[in-house]
Amino acid sequence: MKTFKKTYRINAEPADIYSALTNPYTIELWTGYKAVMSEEPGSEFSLWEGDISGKNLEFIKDKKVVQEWYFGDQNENSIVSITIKPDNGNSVISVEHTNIPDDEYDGIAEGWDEYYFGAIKTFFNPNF
Amino acid sequence: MKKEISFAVVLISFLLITVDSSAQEKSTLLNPEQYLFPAFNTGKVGMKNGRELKVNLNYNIVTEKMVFMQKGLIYDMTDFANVDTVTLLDKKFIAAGKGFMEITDKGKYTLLFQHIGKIETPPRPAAYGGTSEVSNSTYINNVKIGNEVYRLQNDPDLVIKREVFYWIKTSDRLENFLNEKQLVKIMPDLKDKIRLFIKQNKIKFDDPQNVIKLINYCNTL
Repeated sequence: MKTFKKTYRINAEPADIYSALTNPYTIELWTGYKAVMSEEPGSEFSLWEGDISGKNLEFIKDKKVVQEWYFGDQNENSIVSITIKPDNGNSVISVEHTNIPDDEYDGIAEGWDEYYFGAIKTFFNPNF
Repeated sequence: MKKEISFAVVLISFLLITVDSSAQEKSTLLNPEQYLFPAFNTGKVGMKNGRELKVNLNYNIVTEKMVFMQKGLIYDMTDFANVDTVTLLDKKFIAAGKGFMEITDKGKYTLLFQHIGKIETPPRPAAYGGTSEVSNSTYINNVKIGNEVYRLQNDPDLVIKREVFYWIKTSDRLENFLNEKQLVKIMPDLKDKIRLFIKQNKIKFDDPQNVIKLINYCNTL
């Protein structure tokens, strides 16, 4: 099992980043796929039409999201903690993702960079 | 099965769609409430390479997809990178992330509308993805997978609530707002003038036309 840790800086307010992580209608814009998401701890979530799914554990509005991500039948829970901090009008986002199966680590790391926060950054900083 | 196809793949096919066939397709449109427009209409897709295509278009507010109809089938438009602007009837759309938003006049502050349709169903046992029988009636709801909503034909329990989310594109980024407080936070230097304009013109944030008027005013300051 491996742990992924990384910090991203995005030109957007923490409230907008938080919304991009929790509002299903905003998620659908940056992912391009139907999302199931709510801010209710204990609720199930589904992104990219189920490619990523799990359970929501904790929310602190505009500051923190904690989720359990499902990886088949593994014994240890894979926990994602995302914290958002303001920094001169931007957001600094720290991600810690624990207990990633070894054979899935590279794909997950690439996913965080490209498909997750890469896509959110592109969404909030468009070229038009 | 998800009906999704690369926009680029069907570019040539677009040219074959005739106005007559779109007229025929209009009459067979099912569940029109899931669309922004009551019927598919010929719109213009302006590509970033300068080409312009006429396509039979609509916008699905539930899936938040620009969709096009070809030979009676509805496809999601997915090639966001190469599309500049989509013009459909009186509205213009621009790619935002992996979806589209309606764009008003460009300015220092450009206002965009995110059109959404919230599916609301009465709470029932096995409401999602299953069938339940209540009071001798059978309810079928399969709303959780993207285009599956197309198959919710004639479901008496299906309610789609239309909403518009507001976004502002400033010089370098997109920001979301719903009310005066959030708008003022985006434009703190204009706080007093915005508040006075809202008061004098009785601007209501639940009316997109009012919000257009407000942002047009902000662009004159």
